[in-house]
Amino acid sequence: MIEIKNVSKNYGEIQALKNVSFEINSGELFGLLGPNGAGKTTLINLLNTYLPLKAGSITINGLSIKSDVKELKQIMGVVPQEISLYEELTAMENMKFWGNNYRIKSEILKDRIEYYLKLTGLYKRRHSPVAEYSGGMKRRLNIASSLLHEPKILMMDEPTVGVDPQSRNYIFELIEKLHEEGRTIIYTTHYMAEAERLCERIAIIDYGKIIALGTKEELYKILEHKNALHLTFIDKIDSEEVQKIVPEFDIRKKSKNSVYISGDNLIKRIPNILKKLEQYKNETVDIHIIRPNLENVFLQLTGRELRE
Amino acid sequence: MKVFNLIKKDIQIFLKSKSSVVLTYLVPMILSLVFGLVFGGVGGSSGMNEIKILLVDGDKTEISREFTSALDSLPELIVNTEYTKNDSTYLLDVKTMDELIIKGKRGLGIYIPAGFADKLKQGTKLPLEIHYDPKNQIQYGMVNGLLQKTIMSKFPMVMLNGLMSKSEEFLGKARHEMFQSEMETTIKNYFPVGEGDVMKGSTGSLPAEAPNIFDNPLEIEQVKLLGEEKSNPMYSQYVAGMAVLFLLFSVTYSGASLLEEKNAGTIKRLLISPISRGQILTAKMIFTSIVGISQLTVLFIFGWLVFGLNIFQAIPTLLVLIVVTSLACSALGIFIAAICNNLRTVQSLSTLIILTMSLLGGSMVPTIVMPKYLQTVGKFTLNYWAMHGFNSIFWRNLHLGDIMLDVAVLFGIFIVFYFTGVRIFKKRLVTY
Repeated sequence: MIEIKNVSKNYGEIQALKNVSFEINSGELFGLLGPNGAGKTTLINLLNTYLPLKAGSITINGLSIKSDVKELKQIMGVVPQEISLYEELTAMENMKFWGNNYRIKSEILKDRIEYYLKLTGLYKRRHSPVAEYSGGMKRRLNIASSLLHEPKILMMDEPTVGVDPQSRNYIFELIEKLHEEGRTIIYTTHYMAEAERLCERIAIIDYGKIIALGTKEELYKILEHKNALHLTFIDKIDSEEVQKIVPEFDIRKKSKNSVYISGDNLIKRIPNILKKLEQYKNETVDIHIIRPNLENVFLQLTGRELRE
Repeated sequence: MKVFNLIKKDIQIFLKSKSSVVLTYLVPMILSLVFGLVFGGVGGSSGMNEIKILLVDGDKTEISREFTSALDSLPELIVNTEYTKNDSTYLLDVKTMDELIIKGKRGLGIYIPAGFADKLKQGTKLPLEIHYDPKNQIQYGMVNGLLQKTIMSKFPMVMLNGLMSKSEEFLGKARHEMFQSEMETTIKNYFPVGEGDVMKGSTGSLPAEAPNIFDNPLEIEQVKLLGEEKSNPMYSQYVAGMAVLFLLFSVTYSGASLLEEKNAGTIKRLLISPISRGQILTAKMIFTSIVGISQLTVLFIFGWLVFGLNIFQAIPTLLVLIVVTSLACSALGIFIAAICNNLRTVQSLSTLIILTMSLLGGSMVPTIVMPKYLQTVGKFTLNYWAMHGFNSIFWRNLHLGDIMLDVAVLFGIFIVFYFTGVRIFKKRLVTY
């Protein structure tokens, strides 16, 4: 179990983390969701001992992040946001290098390298220099090289950044398999869909604070209205004018020509909404139903979209 | 417009690194200042440096002592006729003088052979021996000129006899004697001198070996104490300077790869794994030293194969010096990388430091041509001690006991730069 209590971190005058406290259960796939600059990487860097912890306390499986660093490094694996590989070396050479840092016996290391290169689909290209790999392949090797010492806890800091959809799915399947093997995984992302697909529990972080935490179903309960309509008009719209036409619903502007509409019994009342909007000067060209999602949870909690 | 945009982008990037901007303009200014100082000083020549020479008087006469004092009184020379050993002072002999020159304690020595005073009285060419290290050819030329100047000014008889000899050669013996007689009469008419005082010492027959007035009044025997057995003396002399210069460049860039790793994120990942900052820096230090050791080894083997450089006469000594020189250069590389924020700054700063040290330390020009204070400054450079050590092996055929000071200083440089660099780098490895 990972216990984080009253953790704060400052970079000069900027407070990156503000009194953060929560727990992560053993074997859990835990998500840290938040926009860029929210404090996700800072928290990961404190957890993996890269940054010194000065305010608050963190214990991992009963070991203190301050005093048991040596033991913790043996049970933790970190997939950094940067592709931290030696591009001149081959995949095989990179794997050997990173594995040897954990003093794994050569026969065992050899077997593990083969296993994880096969698991990440890189075995056939194991003798190619990493510089010749695609972005997705590099990301997969970045993950594979962090698994060689078979860590109980895996911290993955935005491991799909800059990856094509095919490689992303490959990585998702890999993470799910690693989770099935019983590992505790902490997964940071600013992609709502990734957190929803992968994580059992999610902490939403914004401006260094945990603003919500729970399973996705628990987080959806935060929403005032479960569903929303996304209406797109042919031309620019004034959301106040739309609000006047349907005053019984909540209107939130999505873009220059679209709005979100939410309210009670929304699905049943769609025909009524559309009829009323016929009197609006701007023609409706698209309508679709938005199911409850973390994007809307974040929007409701902060008034901003995750991508902002 | 697109080109303008590209140029604007490069300017913006360039201006973002303040240290790079400063160094870009500062490096050429500082280097031109150092070059200027080395080759003549700012605002004009700073004059000739004092040359320390040894002198053994084998004649031991009043005249040879007078000659020695005359040389010592020259502002350009410092003449030592004695040496100190075990807190006692002894008079120099030729053997000791040669040993001191071979060991590089002095560049040059003069031996006044027996019969010097007699030759002077006879007004014939004066015999002298100059014992020297051919590396110090410039000193040899300077001292030779000073010897001639001293003879001309302190012992004009030699010159006068030369003048008479030339006169006799032009006029014939009878007309020359007539010229002398008339000259004597004319002088007596105008100057209050006694009978027989005029042309004193120049009457009668001239000595058979009277020097030509246009010749060197000295009969100098050059005794080259070193380098005679070298198959390529020039290469043996300059290989040390080249080796240290190139070594500094290569290991500095190897050290700078730490910054590349930091930027790429691999340092961060290493720090997360069970590796300490000290281990990362020690590994980098050892790697750059291996690069340095192999570079020097390959260069010297190349010198042996192509130029006949004698690398086998003191292999253990050479190995020790290669190792400490590589360690010192690598530590300097780590130190430079530690104090810089980016690779551009490393390049500018290392160019400045390496070229300045190489200039002052003698890798590029002999220190003898520099003003005295710069020669002193040069002793604070890594190049000076490394070159001194390698020259002691390749040129002077010396052994480990003779280069212990060089080894100790280079090891000291390694310790200071390495531990300071590690201290700074440890703080800067983590990007907060």
